[in-house]
Amino acid sequence: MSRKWLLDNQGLFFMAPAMILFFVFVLYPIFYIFNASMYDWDGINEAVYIGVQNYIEMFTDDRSFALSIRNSIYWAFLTIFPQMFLGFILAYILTSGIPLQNAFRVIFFMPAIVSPVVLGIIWQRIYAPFGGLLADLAWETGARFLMQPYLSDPKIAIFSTIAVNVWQWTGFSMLMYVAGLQGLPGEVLSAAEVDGAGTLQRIRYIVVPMLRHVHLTLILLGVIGTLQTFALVFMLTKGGPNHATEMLPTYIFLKAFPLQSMGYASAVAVVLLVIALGASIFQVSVLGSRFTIGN
Amino acid sequence: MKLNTRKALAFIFVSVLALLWMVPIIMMLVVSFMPPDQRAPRFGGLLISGVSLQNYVTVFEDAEIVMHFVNSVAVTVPSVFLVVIISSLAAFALARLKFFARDLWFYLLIMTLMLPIPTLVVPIFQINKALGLNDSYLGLILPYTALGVPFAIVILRSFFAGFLREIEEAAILDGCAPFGIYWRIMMPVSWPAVAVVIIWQFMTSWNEFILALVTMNSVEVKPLTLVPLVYSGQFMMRPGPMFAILTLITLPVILVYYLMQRFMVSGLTAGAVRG
Amino acid sequence: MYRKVTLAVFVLLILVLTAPALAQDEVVVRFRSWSPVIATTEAMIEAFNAENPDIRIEPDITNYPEYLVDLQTMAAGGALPDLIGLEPGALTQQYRDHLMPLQDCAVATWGEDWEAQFFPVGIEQARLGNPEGDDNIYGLPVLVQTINMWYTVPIFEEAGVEPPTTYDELKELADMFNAQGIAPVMIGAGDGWIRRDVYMQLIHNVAPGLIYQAEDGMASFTDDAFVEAMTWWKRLFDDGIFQMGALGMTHYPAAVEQIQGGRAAMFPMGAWWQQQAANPNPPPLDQNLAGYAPFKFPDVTGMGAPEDLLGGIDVMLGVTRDSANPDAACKVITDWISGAGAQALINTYNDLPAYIGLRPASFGSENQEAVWDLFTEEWLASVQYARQLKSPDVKQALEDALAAVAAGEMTPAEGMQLVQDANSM
Repeated sequence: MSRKWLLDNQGLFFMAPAMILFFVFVLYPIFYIFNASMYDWDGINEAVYIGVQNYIEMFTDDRSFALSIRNSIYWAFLTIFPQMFLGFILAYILTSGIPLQNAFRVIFFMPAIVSPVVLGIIWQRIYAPFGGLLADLAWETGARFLMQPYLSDPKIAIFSTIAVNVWQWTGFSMLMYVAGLQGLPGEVLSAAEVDGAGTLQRIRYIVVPMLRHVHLTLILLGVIGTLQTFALVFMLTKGGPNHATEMLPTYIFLKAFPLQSMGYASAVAVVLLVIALGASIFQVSVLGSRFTIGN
Repeated sequence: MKLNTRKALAFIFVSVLALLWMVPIIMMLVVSFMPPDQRAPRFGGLLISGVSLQNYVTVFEDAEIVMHFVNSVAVTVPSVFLVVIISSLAAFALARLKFFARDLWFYLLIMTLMLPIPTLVVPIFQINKALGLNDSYLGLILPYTALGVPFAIVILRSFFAGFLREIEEAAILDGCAPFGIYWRIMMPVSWPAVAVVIIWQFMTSWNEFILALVTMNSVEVKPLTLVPLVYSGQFMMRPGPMFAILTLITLPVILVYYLMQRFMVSGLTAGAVRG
Repeated sequence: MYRKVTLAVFVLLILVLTAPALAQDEVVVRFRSWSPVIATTEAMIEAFNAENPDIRIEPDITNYPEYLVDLQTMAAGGALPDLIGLEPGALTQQYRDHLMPLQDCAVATWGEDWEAQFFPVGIEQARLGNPEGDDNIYGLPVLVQTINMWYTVPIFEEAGVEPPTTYDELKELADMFNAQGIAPVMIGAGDGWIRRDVYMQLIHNVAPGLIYQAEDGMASFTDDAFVEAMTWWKRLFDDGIFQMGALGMTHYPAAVEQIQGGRAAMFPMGAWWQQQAANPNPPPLDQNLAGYAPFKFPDVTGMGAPEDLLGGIDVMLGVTRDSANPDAACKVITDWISGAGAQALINTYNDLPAYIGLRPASFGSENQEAVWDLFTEEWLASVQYARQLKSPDVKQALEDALAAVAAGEMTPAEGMQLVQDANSM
């Protein structure tokens, strides 16, 4: 390597620390799980090579895996869009100059920074069918519709879990929109007002389109969040009842540790990885690499 | 006049919603002040009969909260620091310099934006073991940094990319090397974006627990998030102390957010301006 | 001269840095488990160290699910601690190749007839799942238990009723308690293990011993008896025997908190429930175990309740092959089973001792002592069958099936088919 080459490629030195960490703590683990996915292995004793058998079983005869995929799809749609919608409304109100708006922003954002371990334990008490907040409220006020088998009915449980996630992350969406709204040039809005456009029209035809980058960022973060969902489900339902709230990471955990099938768990992890790659590539190809805040 | 009614309505709407929003957090606080021999409070814990500080006393006596707190800080702060330095260097290069296979590096990095930690626990443990890092702060700092860097790069790169070429060119004419441009020109005005990175990384490092569980063997080095798991056999059945612990875990993150939130909004805004 | 000084400083520095390592001639035994809880473990260590000050024990206690992750990660990395907590069956078998046979340690401590000094169920289960011809003991039982029902004494006294022995009595009580807003049978059926515990008692009522034959392939999980037990399980939900929403609640801590708060008339649990008495700041019902009494699972099927209870090992301890100090580890284990450490453990009523003849130093009430005697003298001696199953896959399938049937997603027959499928894999 000549001196000139190095001078022309100084960027590599800037990249070096990131890349070293990346190779050691990200790339190697990926190869490791890829390799492990080809074995029948309990994680401790000798592994038996079985080729793609784990993958075949996963896609042909694994209800829990299918449920985790279904739940991930539910999760992506039912967290991302409600969070954006609610977040936008809050952001719009909280940039309109009402009293205490900074305090309100802090309040709505707060759940986003609390550990999911903590939230899981608290929300169990809210949903608890016996002595829980909602159940007691229903009992005392006669609002019986509040008394639902939130976490015990396999048909409802995933939505109850998603609701917690929406509660947790709406504040984050709000904050992103607050930032976006504050960045909008004021003339645009006042010009529209002079034109006599009503509030709703103004929002719909001017504000929302101008916040395109915020929408896209939130979708990206929402997809990341969906694929990484672990702690909240683990603490709230352990993936139950009967795997009704299983997500890919919780299923990987269940297989790898309590069920002693590290090989199979690795295969599920590889699938998750491929989905993640696909999502990343999709994001990049649709949005270019300019897919975060601004620019 | 019409505008004021509207604002008043908006204010009421937001107030009610905010109150509802706070219920879980309030519940956590209330239960943590419940007298220790009380059980099954009404409304999941929103109503208690009597207030007591005993739970906090118990927690501080039985679990070395201060020690675990220090451990959390010793893991979180360096990982935040490293993420900021490492990712800003890389983001600067990716945004402003030309070099060999630049786009390839970037795509490689963002591909791992979505890696969930539970899938990587076993291999990371083995790497740490090979490097002799288990049971040490570095055993968490390095993986947290590695996993946090891609997201931070994405944030900072788009921020750096928004700078005007002219300033940079003027600096080059003045004989400023790329590192000088990065360190003396870009970084000092990038605090809004850096604030976003700091908050995000602080949250993830502070709250992570699966990797911490397998990496930290000795009680002396366990971070605060492990406390409910380590002591839950003991505290699980005593909701008061349990919720006192939960409160103690939560307060520092809220504090950091509170201190940084001014920068957070302006950081995000600064990014969004260039939409 | 200058270089000599530098060298001297350097050597001194190395000495200072390595001094603690050199000075350390005490033996270290690292211990990891999910049970007993940390406070009890510390009391046991203290008791042990009073007699063996030269052995330092480093404990690390985590919740069971997290413990499994911890153990497996360390085993994969070849870094197991000296002493690990084990469950009989699947967990012990998974780690068998990493565990040292302990019978020599046992003989050296208790003599040739050491097995006779333990409750038989403990010894039998310690070998659960060993391959044909392997009689090694890979873990020594520390605590044993039965599974059974408990009732809340003041609630029963106020209602003027007795614990039920048949399904009709159970149903009658349930209707009464439901009307009062009290959970008839409080179960946190969101936890798989408690679902399984209740089912094990149901199938034990229908056909004692059959489930173990099915595990070995000598019977099918789809046989009528299993489906019938599953049908009873479903009825417990449908008839309001279990409290509403039971499937969405954890047994620990959610159900327990309600039990302690006096909102449960009866509940499935086990001998370990006695440990409530040792918790600091106990709620009134827990104090000296004043508020609770055990009873046998009612004869719901009407086929006659079996005399014996299900039970087994609560926790056993194994010494890993990685251990640098197996002798010290043996010393610790045996002390915790029958020595000063064991006494410290039993004093917390954590569960029943596997070693015959140990007794807590004191009881807080007559009720508590009577309960202890009932467990150790009558119930534990009757145990013939295990509470646990051998294969983790069958266990998981059964727990899934129980949840699915309870939720109405599967019929009892479909549920048992799921279990059979898992067993034949």
